[in-house]
Amino acid sequence: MKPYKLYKIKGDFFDCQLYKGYLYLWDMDGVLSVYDWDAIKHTMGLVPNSTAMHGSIKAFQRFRKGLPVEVTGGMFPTDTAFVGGYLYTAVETGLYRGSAIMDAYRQSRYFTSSRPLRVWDCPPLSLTANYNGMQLAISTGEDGLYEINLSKDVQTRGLKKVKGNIYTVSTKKAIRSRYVKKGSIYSTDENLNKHFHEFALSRLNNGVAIRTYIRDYDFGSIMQSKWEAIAGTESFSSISRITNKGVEVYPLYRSQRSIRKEPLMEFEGTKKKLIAVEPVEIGNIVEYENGLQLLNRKGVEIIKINTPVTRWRWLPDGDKKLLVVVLEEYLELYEI
Amino acid sequence: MANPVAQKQYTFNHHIIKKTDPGQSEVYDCTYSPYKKHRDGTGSKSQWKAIITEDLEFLLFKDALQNDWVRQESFKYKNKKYSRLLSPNGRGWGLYVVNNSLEELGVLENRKISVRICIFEEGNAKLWHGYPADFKKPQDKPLDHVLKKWRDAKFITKATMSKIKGGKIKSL
Repeated sequence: MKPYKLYKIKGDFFDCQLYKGYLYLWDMDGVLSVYDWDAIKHTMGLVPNSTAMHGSIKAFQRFRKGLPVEVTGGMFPTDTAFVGGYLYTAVETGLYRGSAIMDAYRQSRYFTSSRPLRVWDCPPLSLTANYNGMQLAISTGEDGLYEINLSKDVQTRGLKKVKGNIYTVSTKKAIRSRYVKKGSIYSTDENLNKHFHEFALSRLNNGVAIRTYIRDYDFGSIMQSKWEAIAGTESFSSISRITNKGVEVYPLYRSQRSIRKEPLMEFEGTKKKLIAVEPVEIGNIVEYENGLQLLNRKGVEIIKINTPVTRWRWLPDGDKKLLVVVLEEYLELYEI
Repeated sequence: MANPVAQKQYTFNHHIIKKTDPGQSEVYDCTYSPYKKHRDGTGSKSQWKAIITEDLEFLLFKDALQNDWVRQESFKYKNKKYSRLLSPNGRGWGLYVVNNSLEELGVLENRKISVRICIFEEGNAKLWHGYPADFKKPQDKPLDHVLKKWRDAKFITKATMSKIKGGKIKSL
């Protein structure tokens, strides 16, 4: 028996998010519709096939919340993230922010803000929310890595302010990033090179926390002295690097005393064909130009998708996890 | 910006809608000058493949304008939204399509990466030139509406469109 349930929804989507039990779906006209995910899941679960459930988004219109909305004038999101109750949308003209759920949505026609505010004119490549949901890391490619701090209880120090609450974290190229221990950031450039941007957290007597930027580390320095900081946030994580043959993945367990000298996994492939290797709680997700694999902590394949992936996300859904994969004609949601 | 060093010059009369009456069209007459440095092996410039002759380069440019694979300006007329080619500061993107499939048209500066997309720039008003596009440069990336048109025409997939936007691939 497969270790997951698959929900397959037919439709032409470009992006998907899950927030507070609602499924946010962007279509190919740049229009966002929000659905009650539990209701869809329940309806699909009534089908007597226990491992793979199919449905068309047209059949779920009764679960839609409010009217579909052209959040960013019909532009496609390069990436999206929820931070501090806001939906941040990166598009080709910059970064926009609007309410994720409108306070008065029952009276309003729209569930989510239909007129988001442009907070920055720099077009980001990817967005990542901190675990506390109050900081947003913004990868801009050639221009480097930035951060928005929405928290009044956490002050940022040691970073140059760009405007408002936007700070420059690093001018090293970054196409994506993730938060690790103490709000430090681990970023990846287009050659899959990794950089670790270290922060220190301290607390003042008035309860305000100070998050101070310390310095950047490259892969070699991370392996020597900073692997523990990356291993520390979850029970499992990993660090990877590109080599001439492919990618090496080193596992990181929270309780381990030293880093493995040999990689746990080595993937064949070229820089061109490998898109990403990202750790998740149960293992690693490896994205190729023509597909995607979810591997467990020992490198054993759990899910394999043999078709190019438009977007994938690893999202919490109650006590389960969802691997959400946007494909050419379908949205696939693997509940694990 | 200095004029590109031209080997040949081509003139093109392109019809665009009138801002004062979108029901009517007007002629946008421009000149296309193939830029020598994108053909002579100059190290800092991406290079056209030999199969893309200057005449073919001009045809790719015409295709880009005629298919609206260009940066557009939006305007309203009687409360309806319209868009048309933006000029000056125009920008467009081209493909070399043979039997409905995209063929390589050039190589990037490092000569290692072949590419299937080119970019056209209006350096001076109504004077255009083009070269193979490098997605590492944000300005070389095709705009959303262009990517969507290419996807609708089945030249690229939705996955490719997403990877171009997200900076996940260096070339196509």
